[in-house]
Amino acid sequence: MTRGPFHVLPPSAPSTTRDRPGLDTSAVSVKPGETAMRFAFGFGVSVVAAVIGKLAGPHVGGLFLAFPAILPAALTLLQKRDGRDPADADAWGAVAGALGMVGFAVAAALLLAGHPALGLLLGVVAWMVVSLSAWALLQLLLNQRR
Amino acid sequence: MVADVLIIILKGLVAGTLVVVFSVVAQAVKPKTLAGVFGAAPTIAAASLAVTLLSDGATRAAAFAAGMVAGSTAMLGYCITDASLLKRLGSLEASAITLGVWFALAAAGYVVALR
Repeated sequence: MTRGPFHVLPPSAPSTTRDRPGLDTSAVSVKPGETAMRFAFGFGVSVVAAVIGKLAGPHVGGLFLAFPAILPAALTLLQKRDGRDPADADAWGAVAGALGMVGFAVAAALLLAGHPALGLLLGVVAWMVVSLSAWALLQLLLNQRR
Repeated sequence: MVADVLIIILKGLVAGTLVVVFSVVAQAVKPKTLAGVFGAAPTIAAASLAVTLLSDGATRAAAFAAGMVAGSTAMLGYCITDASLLKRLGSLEASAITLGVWFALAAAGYVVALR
């Protein structure tokens, strides 16, 4: 196995990367307790960011729009339910999602003032394009390691 | 004052709902690395910015988004560190440690680019 700059990538992930992207609705499990917890996290972080924005200004409030509150909870739930390997693979996917989040923020920061609706829409498009491109690149790197 | 509180609650309700919707999508998506992409989706930000646009106008929403550029860069650093540590430490321990990474990077981004 070649050890390149991505040797920290999980040895467990390649086995899951052979699957083609798709939807498996049978994997969806909507438990009231978990759903309530996710809603509470989303509600709480948004309220905290808004209150900080009121008290310390929108720049500081904006920092907290990207606060990692949901991901740790999701990974902990996943690890508890399915074990450490799926949580590990999910965490690497989140790196691609975070790159997309940077794309969303940059597009929104540049465009919102001049073109509000278009800026928000293009921000979402930037998130999708950047995160899916980064995910595809991650898959390529993982497959090369095999 | 009452209007401000109602807007903050509205932001929370929209953000909480979006988080739940994306978590369902993340569960259905395969493989797991792709599900992770949805775990770091800007759900809270999109909801908050949309409500801010309607309630406070585009200039204030853009200022929030500028702050988010620093926050999301810190989030990227958080995710890389978390993914590197998770296999060895487990999710809870890795997340707790790397939360410090987010605060450090967010503070640095604020001081360098926004202050």
